Amino acid sequence: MYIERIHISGYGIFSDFSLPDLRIRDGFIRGLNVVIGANESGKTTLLSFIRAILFGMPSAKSREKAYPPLAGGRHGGLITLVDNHGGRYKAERFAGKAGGLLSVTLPDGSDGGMTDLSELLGNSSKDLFRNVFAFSLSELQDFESLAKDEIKSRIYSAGIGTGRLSLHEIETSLKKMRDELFTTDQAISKNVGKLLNDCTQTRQQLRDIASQASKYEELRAELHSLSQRIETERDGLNVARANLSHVEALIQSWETWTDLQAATKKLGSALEIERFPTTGVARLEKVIERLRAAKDNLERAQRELEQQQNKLNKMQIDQALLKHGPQIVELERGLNRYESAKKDLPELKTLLKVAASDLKKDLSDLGAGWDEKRVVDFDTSIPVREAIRSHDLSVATKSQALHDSKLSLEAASKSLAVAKKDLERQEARLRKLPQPSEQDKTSLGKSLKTARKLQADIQTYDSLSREITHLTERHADKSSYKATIERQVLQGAGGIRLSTFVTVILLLMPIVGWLILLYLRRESSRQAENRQVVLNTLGTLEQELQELNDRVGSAKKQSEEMKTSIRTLGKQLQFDDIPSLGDIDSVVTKLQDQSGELTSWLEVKRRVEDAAEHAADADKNYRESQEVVKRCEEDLQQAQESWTQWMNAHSIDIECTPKTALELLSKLESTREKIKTIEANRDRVSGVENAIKTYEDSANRVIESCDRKRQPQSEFPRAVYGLIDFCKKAGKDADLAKQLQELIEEDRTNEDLFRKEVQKVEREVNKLLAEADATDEEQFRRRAEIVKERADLNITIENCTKSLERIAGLGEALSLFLHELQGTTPEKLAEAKRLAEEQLHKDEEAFEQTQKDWGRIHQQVEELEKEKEASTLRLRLNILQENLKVKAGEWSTLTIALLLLKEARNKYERERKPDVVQEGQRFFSTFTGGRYPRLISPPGESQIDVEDRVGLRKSLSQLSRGTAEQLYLALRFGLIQEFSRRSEPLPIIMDDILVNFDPERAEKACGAIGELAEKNNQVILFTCHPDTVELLRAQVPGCRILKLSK
Amino acid sequence: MKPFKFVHTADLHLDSPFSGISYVDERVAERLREATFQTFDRIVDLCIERAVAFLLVAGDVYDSRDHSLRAQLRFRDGLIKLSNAGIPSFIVRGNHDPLDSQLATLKWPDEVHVFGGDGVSCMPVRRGSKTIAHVYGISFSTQDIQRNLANEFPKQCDSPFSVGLLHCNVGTNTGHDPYAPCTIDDLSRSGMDYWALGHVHTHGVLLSERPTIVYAGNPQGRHPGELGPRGCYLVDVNTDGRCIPQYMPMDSIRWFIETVEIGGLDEDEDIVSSAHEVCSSIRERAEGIAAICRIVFTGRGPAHANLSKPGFVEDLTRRLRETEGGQEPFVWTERIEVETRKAIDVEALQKGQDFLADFLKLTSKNRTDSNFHAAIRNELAKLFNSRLGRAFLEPLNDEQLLTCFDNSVEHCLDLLISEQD
Repeated sequence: MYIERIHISGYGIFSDFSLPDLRIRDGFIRGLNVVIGANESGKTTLLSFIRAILFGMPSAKSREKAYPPLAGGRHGGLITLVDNHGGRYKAERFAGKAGGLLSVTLPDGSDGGMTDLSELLGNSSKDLFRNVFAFSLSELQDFESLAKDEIKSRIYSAGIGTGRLSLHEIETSLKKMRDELFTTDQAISKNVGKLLNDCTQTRQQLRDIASQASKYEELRAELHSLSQRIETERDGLNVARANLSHVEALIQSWETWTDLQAATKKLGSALEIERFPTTGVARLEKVIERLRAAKDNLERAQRELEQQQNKLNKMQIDQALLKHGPQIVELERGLNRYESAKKDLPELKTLLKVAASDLKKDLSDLGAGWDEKRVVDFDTSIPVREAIRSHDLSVATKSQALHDSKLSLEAASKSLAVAKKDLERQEARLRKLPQPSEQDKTSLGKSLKTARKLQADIQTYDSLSREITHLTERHADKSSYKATIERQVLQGAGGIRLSTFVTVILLLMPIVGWLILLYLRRESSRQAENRQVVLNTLGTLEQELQELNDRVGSAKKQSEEMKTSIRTLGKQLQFDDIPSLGDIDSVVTKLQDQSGELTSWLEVKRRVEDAAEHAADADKNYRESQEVVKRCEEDLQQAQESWTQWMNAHSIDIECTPKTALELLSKLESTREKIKTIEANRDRVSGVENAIKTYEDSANRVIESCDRKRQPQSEFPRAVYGLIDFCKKAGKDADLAKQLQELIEEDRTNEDLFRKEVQKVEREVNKLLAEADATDEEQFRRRAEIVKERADLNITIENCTKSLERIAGLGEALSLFLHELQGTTPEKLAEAKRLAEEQLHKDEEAFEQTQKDWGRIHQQVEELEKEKEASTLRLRLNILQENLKVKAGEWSTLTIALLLLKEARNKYERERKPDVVQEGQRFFSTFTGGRYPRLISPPGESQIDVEDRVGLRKSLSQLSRGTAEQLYLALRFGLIQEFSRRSEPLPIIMDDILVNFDPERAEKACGAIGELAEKNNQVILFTCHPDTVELLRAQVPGCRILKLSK
Repeated sequence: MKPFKFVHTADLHLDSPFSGISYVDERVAERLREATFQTFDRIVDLCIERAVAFLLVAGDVYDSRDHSLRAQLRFRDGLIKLSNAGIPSFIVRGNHDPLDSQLATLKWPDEVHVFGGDGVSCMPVRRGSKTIAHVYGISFSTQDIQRNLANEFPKQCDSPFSVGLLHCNVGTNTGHDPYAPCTIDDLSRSGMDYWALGHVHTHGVLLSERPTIVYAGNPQGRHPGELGPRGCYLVDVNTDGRCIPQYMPMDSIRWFIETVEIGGLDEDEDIVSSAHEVCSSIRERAEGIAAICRIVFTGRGPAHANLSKPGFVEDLTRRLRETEGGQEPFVWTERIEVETRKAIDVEALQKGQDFLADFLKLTSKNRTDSNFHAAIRNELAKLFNSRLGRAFLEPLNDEQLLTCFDNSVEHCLDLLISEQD
């Protein structure tokens, strides 16, 4: 790898600065580059810049000097690097956190990163690069700079690994892995430490659970004890409950007991009744009730009998009415008809009156001489009607015919007038037109036809003449051309002059054109060919001339024929010779005009003739219409006379038409109907009046029979209604009286029955009283009360006894219970109850607590029995221990590996001189011109001694400053050689390192630098000494010298 | 005599945890927690199904130091089930559950007899009115019984069939603590027809007849050292008193360690496929029982580089757990061990003059150098002798130390010799 170019955006005194200058297109070379610059020109700054870009900007805490951009620009820049394959990388870094912001562009233009840059730099560390590859004089002078662990390891252990990793890297990696597993310093935080901790915790959890489990026996014992205690306490509780129940029973029984006592005492003092009927009082009550009811019934029957009697006595019945009841019923039946007749009579009379008036008006409408009789007698039969209709039809038909004929006459008159007028108009128009001669009428059409034929023939003739001319000209041209060619043929090749040829071209048909071109192109070389072509052409021309001759002959013949025809026609039109086309055109036009005038005259003449014919027809028609009108008038008169005769025959004395006569007949018929209706109404009025009178007479006869006064007509029908009402009332009264009579009989029977019942019940009462040894009801009741009281007391005693038995039990228990009640008081019992309750409450609380305790312990026991967590924890602990074992094994493996490597390294360093030291020795010997041929690295010690030519050994402190610097440089070069063998060679950047070298050693050093540069290491050497430049230029002729100006 | 059957089991170690497992998910963990119980339940079911005359339990029913009450209760429940089926159980206590251990005093069913520790006692086994056998037994009164208990059994018995029930260590190289040591001769000299022994976890018939001496082994393997099918013995006693013990696998989870030789495995896919093939093979052989397996890659070959890639083994393990471990019955890959080696010619390298040659020569010497071993132990003491290290880590024995040593050398060679070489 080598640096191609650096570009500084801003770093120390540099701003927007490139090295090499951009004018040097290929930048630094891969070999030796010498940059010469005066003091303060920025050489050290450039060295620092390269380190900073490749490995990071110096941090604030670093001992390295920082180079802020004093001349402006962004702090940082870019280095272009080229790898062994020519791949170009760009590493750009600007100041920022953690060494600055790095961006890497890979050869393919993609973005890379720190890893890519590290790989390019052979994974070398910052320390290695700074102290071995890019160093200044101050670092060269500082041996400590080579004493850093990594570099020391590289010096003394270089080459011991065969892989890509150095022994140091391997050891570092192993140590890191081992410490990540476990270190004595931070045991807890590490992998194994955490496992150990987890194990401890898990084991403790298991112990906790185990201690719980060990209580199982204890808990079970306690549970057993509690179970026993529960039983004991349950017994005590039962006793307390029984005690309380007993006291409560005594309290509950107290009232019953006192009732028993009282009942027993009262029974002892009550009167004894020997006999008393069972349910005596009830029976007495029942009998007395029955007696009361029987008496009530008797009284009611008597009362009702009396009332019915009184009612019957008060009733008065009209027997006369009852006797004529059927007649009165008959009157009632006829009453509706009577009332209806009476109501209709005035209406009927009014109708009769109106009809008479209406008839009178109809007779008046018919005219004088018409009365009812004549109307009734007049013949209005169908034959009469038909006869009238026949006359009516005849008159009407004749009238219509007359009317129609008159209309026809009027139309004929109008037509005649119009025809005459049209005739006059056409005649006037004819008169205005010139009258043609008879010759014109016959010859004009023929002349026009001849003129048109002549016109066409002349046009054809002209056309033939032009064609003959044209064909003649063509014939002449071709003949001329033929003559020319014939001459050419006769004269031989080349005889045709260009001018003649051109003339021919201009004259001849285009078909000859190509021959000309052909000739022009091939004139010189193809004359023989031309000759043949010309002969061919002559043949063709001959044929064409013959064709033209034929066509001219034919045309001329046609022309002559046409000329003869034209002359013949021309003569017909008075032309002496062949007329011109213009002449014949004017003749044709003139003839066409004359023909038009003749056509117009003939048309008008035809119209006049038509109009005259039409007028004659109209006149004839008019006369015929007049005849028809006359005939119709005669027919109508005849029909009217016939009608008049018919009316006279039928004594119709009025002047009227058959239509009017038909209307008269209709009128007569309707009048006749009215006469009939009036007669019928007169009959109805008379009938109704008779019926009214008959009914009233009949009614008065009945009234009189019923001992009542005869009623006038005005009292009807009210009198009849009154009679009917009286009759109905008399009937009802009679029925009522009959019913009353029946009731009275029934009441009498009942009264008898009820009286007997009273007597019977009174006997029963007396018997019951006797059964109870009572003389009356009151005594009976007193005795009954005594009996009842005794029975009640006995029941009370029995109930109380049963109640107490239920509470206390039977026999002995009851006796004791009663005895107990005997010896106590309610107050004493209340106190005993309070005490018993207190005891029970106390016992219950204790029992409940014991049960809770039992439940709690039982739950604990159950939990212990079901406990599964310990199983889980035991498995977890085993898994943790297994993992611990694995990790401990890994840790042991790594620890042993480190021990093995350490031992091997020690042995190697002890027994074999490190390659770096070997290489360093070679360089150092070269630098010192062989004065110090050997370097000695004592086994197990990280130090170097030198041995001179004679075997004298010197330590570092014994060397001069310059010689020490040369040793350090030699060791660095040795390291560079070793590093380059294992990875990509890195550029070596040195800042004025030869200042303390004498010229000879400086020259040797330059030779060594040249050697490195040749072995693929790029070298960039900064110096302010032109001598150094010259030395290097002499050693490495191909080196690139660059100047750094201030 | 009438023929009969009995079941002989031992070392149930109920509720004791599985060990040697680096990781299980919660589902598998639950199965592991239940495994010993499930196995015991199966033995109980076997007794009932085969209508055996009695059950013999030769000690170490549980680990008393676990204080697992659940284990005791589940054991009692099983015995109750047997008792209800009319099958008596005879139990002796072993070094893990001696009589003086803090176990709960449970009420045992009538048909259960736990032998005392003061001397050998005898219990008859009746079928109807007839005694078909006598069971002699003695429990460990305390954990550390060093006396020969076999000698305390009667030399002659007046019984149709005599069974000796004992937790003991027969011989010397059993791989177990030498509690109640005795020899086959000691046992043979007694008047027993059948010795039902416990303590050694590997089952086996020590003597086939006169007397028949049998270790039932533990019925459920709990760590990678207890591989393969595990169970109990179903013993047929025929009319002339001869015993035919038949081993019945009863385990609910089975252990497997499978080795894969990496020769012929080139690509990642080859390695993954080989691992899946191992799991499939285990599933086939496990007879429908869930399995825990450890896969060990061994040998030299290009696959070593693949297996050494950071995260490769972890990814493969995770993948196997997700696929094979997710099925039912599961094959749970407990871990994958890589014991492969880089394909290098160590002898040729030793002949070189470089650091690698020096390293190889030195390691060859140091492998057996007691001074270097002492130096290693001194260095490892930082962890193993730390306070917590002592509590939870066993110091490496010589064999383990050498394994670590060899691993270290391989590790260093991996780093010193790059792939390019």
